[in-house]
Amino acid sequence: MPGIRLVKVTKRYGDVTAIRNLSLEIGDGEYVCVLGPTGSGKTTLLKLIAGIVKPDSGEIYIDGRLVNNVPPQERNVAYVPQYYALFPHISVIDNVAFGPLSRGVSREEAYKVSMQMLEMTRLAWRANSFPHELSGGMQQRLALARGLASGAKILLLDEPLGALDARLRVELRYKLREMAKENNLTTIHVTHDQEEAMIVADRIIVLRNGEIQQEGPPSQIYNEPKNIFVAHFVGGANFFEGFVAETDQNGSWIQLRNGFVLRINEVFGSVGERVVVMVREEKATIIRGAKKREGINLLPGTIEWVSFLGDFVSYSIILDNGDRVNSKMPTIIGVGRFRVGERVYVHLRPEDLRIYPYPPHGLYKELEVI
Amino acid sequence: MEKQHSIKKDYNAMYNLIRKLDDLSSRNSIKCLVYASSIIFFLTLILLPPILGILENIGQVEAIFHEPRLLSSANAAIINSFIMAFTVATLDLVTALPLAWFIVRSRSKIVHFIDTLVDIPFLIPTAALGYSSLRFWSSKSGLPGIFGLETLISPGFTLVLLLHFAFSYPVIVRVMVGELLNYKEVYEVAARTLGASPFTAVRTITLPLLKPGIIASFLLAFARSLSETGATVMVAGPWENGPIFLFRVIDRTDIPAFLKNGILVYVSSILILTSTIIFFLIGLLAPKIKFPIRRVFPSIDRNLSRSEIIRFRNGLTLLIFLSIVVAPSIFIALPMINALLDGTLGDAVAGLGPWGEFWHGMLLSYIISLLSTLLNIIFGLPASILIARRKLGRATSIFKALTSVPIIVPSIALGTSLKLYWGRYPFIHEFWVLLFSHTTITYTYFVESMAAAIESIPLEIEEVASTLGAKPLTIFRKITLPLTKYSGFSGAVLVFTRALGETGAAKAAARSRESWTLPILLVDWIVNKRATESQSALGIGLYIISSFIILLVLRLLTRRK
Amino acid sequence: MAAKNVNLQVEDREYLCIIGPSGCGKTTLIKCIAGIIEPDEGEIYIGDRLVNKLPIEDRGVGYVFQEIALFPHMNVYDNVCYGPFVKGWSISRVENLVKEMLNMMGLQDRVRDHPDELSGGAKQKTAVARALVSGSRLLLLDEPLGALDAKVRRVLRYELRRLVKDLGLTAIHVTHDQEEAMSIADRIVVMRAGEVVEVGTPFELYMRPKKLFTANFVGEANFLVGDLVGEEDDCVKIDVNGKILYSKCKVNFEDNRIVAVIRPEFIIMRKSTSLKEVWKGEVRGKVFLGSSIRFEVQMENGSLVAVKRPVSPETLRFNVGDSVSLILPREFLLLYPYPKEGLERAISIE
Repeated sequence: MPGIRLVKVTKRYGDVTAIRNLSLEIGDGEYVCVLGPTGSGKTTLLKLIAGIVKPDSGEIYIDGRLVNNVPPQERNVAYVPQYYALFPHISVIDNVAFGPLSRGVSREEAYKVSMQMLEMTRLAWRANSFPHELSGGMQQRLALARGLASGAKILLLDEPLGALDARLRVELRYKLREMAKENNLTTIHVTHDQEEAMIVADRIIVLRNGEIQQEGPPSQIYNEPKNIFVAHFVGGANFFEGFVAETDQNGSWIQLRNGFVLRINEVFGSVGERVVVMVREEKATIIRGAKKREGINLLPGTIEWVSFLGDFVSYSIILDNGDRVNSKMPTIIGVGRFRVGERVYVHLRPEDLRIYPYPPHGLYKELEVI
Repeated sequence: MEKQHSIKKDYNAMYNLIRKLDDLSSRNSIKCLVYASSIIFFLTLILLPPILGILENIGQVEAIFHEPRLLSSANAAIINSFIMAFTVATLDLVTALPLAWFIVRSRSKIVHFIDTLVDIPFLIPTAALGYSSLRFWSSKSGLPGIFGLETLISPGFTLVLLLHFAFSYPVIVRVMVGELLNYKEVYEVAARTLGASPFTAVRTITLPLLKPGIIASFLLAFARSLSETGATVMVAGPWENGPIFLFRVIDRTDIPAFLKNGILVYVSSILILTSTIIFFLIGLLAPKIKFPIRRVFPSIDRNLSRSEIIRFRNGLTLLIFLSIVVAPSIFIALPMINALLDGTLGDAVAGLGPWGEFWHGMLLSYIISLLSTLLNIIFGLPASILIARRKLGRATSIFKALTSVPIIVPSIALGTSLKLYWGRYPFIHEFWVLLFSHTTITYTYFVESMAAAIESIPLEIEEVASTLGAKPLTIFRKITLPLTKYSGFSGAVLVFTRALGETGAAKAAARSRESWTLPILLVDWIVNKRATESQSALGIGLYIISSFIILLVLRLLTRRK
Repeated sequence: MAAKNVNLQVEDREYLCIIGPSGCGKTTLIKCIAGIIEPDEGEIYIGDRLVNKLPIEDRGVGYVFQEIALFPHMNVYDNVCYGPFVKGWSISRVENLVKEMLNMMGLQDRVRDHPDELSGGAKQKTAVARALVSGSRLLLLDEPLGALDAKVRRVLRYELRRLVKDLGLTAIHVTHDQEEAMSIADRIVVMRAGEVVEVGTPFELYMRPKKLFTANFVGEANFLVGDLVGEEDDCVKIDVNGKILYSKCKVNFEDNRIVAVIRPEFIIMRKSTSLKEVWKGEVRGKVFLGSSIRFEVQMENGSLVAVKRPVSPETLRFNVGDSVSLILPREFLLLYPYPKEGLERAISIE
């Protein structure tokens, strides 16, 4: 029986529709990331499952039970809001014991369980401190301990790492998943950071303006993005505008700006149709060569800029037809290899190219993040 | 062993009772009941009686139109009310804002001392402030004596102006200190990194952003001046504003009852109507007024930022504060100490002469104030939750505006309308009219401060608590209340001291001498010279002390927790 | 103490990033430069001028606040105008400057909007425009991208750098995100607990960090504790829990106890190999990162190391539980003396 199920759920706030006709299923014990930009409805989704807000239409099932009219007190989910909302006026252990005590557990039992939780989250030594005396990372662990103390098996995390330093985020993301798996929790982890989602999730659900764009395991979302938004949001991508010049039974020829042509292995659309071609940054390889080369998908251009990213080096190339390409390669291979201003060829393998219909409002609008 | 067992049983029983109440609180029907009863309380006891009281008796107004002289004095008094209120509020704003600035921004060592001084006029009942001002400015034993004069400023317009200025000043300081503490200084710093001198930054960025606080404090000072009765009567002399006019009419025995009622209804209704309209007008239009930030004068502004100018400004501010606000307020200490030493105390304790009714008045005042506070806490708490958490949706703003009506309206007008309303029911004793009047005028203080305190608790905290299994009442008990208890106590203290200090409404509601609360009695002693200077001084002194005691007790209680 | 004895030189037209954990003093430092905070000791020079006694408004630096701090009661246009406006410049001059700046930042359609109507990225751009429109040559940025979505951050940071370089400005950009700093800085200053740990180009700090803290803070690193046991060819021999490692790094340490550091992407992983210097291990964890995969491998001597390989048919074939052979190339194995306070405290970020 699936752990959480939403069927055609809609939620409006005034004129704004936060969640639009959304259906999804999350299996028992799964670690799912809901990924999307700010304002995509991720927090509303969690609040609907926790019972803090009620849907305008649709049904919500937890463990097979219809919970639309069940108040939050009785849903037994562990909800951890974005800035933790720790109770500032009571100690760490009192924060954790709050849940069990509210549920009618005896004081003895409640504090026993709370100490266990604190030991699990390595906070036992601060049991009598107050929330404001703890560091960011410790506060996050406290919020987790508090949520899980009542024995909830469903964990709802709203940007759990958002309030932490970048470096701490990197360290703690592994620990979050580890803890969830060790305790057999069904977890929904909401975030706007695709790198984080890729690392911790069994499955990713990409959300935009209250609608699901795509869901699947990280590798599938990364390698087979269903639309331009997903391709752009998850990982670095290069986009080329063009139209279908010719098709045959094995693939198509796409004409880009100023006469450049790309071969793709997909039969897509009809001749003359406007399209967008996408290729991942690490799949665009750079070849040196002053002589004109033979071969398909070899685009001449000039190196515009080099960016050292630590384990990766990113070259920014301006092609002769005016398009820009970013090529990412591991530091060992790429560092110091090409110089700014050097003439090179960018090679794109047909099997690495993906094609999409041209978006109605224009490519720039679709890629706009700001 | 048995005793321990029975104590444990009681504890368990209470614990179970609380649990039952917690469970009940999650039922929608119970929640609706609690909120509904709070709204009904507000409507039937606070908002509607004054309105109905006036409307039902509006016909009686006709009587005054046959007395042109009376009519013109009434109109003059009404106009005087608004002129005085406006003048006082403006003067206060201009002089109190620099003091608030000084308290928040200065690093001087005397800041803490000045901060404590500001609270003094708050803690002293206004009738006491009135008497203290009277003695300070216009009697030989005060300031005039130092210059060898009989009197410096005798009762009249100027003395009223000085008095109103003094007791509205702390209101503005407190509100503006709060606003400045909440204000994010980063905006000012940002302006300075862009090249603005401190004065320019304050003028173009900080002041416009403080506009809501400035408007709010102006309105509060305005309301206080409009409404205050007891002290004003002591220092008014020949000058009259609305409340004084009503006060004197109530005491007059030379006009027939129907005319008296006519005058009372006429003046009260105009005061209520005009003050409500003016308040909402200012509240709606003032935010639209823009500060003059279109022009810059870099060189002038730079000069004004110089430390000498700042020191001069601070010095002047402090001078005004100390000489016009603090000195007249605490002056009463001197005559009071005299009275303690010259034997009057003995008479007082023994209850001789006028002291009999003094203690009776004190007891009555205390009981009324306590009961008002209790009523307001019980019925005001759900209302403040309604406002803070916007449980009425769009109607919440309307409800909030309505709950602020009682402090806008001059209290003696309110008292008159309530007397008229409840007067219909002969079985309702004056005590209840007195109680309802005091509850009505203090309702807003508690509800507004609690609502603000609850609003400042992030909603997420309560949401998380509910996901952890806590029922609404449990959340309220264990989360909301502990986090707002300071504001709750402050609100309760505010209600109590306001009720203790109220004169106007009490005068209107209590016609018979046994129903006179303490401030009315003291005003009678002083204005009608029914007691000696010594007795008056001691009476006022004891009045102040009784107000202080409650404050001290409550301060101690909050500190321990 | 927020900052201790900091000596720093920033070159003209340099894009300098200051990074470090929260509370390390980086914000305090730029606030001192701007004049918002007064240093207790020391001198600050902007250009050739000693500015210690100069008030904020006379220092002529552009400052972008962490809270962004756009004036809520003014629209975008008035916000950006503010700087020239308070300096008393003529209206026509102000208008021209502001229009040019707004066009450069792509904000021309938002001039009438108020701050609360703008997206995070637009707010940030407005704040930068406002700081620069008066013509300041020095731009100080306090966590300018902190409040933005990860994706927006990644796009805007390049725009920031491009703007600074196009206008020929000097920028000091404070951030806790080392990836951000690495991608746009000419040079990076690493701070910790009020002190400067190390200064260098992104490449230097990543490939040849001088301090252990830098190795851990900038990028990911594996730390192996061992002892110096000798020299062979012109490499140093190290014993890590019974297994021998070689490093080309030159050492001159007092103690024999050392820490060997190697970045996860420099470790070579094979199914099996006949090479001599190979460490056998078992894959314990595998995480797909998009263009690369991160493995956790438990080595035969007990150490747990992270290995990062680009996605390829070979690397995709490794799974949890597989036995693998790891090669730690000598030229990428860096050596450091074992820290007195212990390894954990020396590299900890919190």
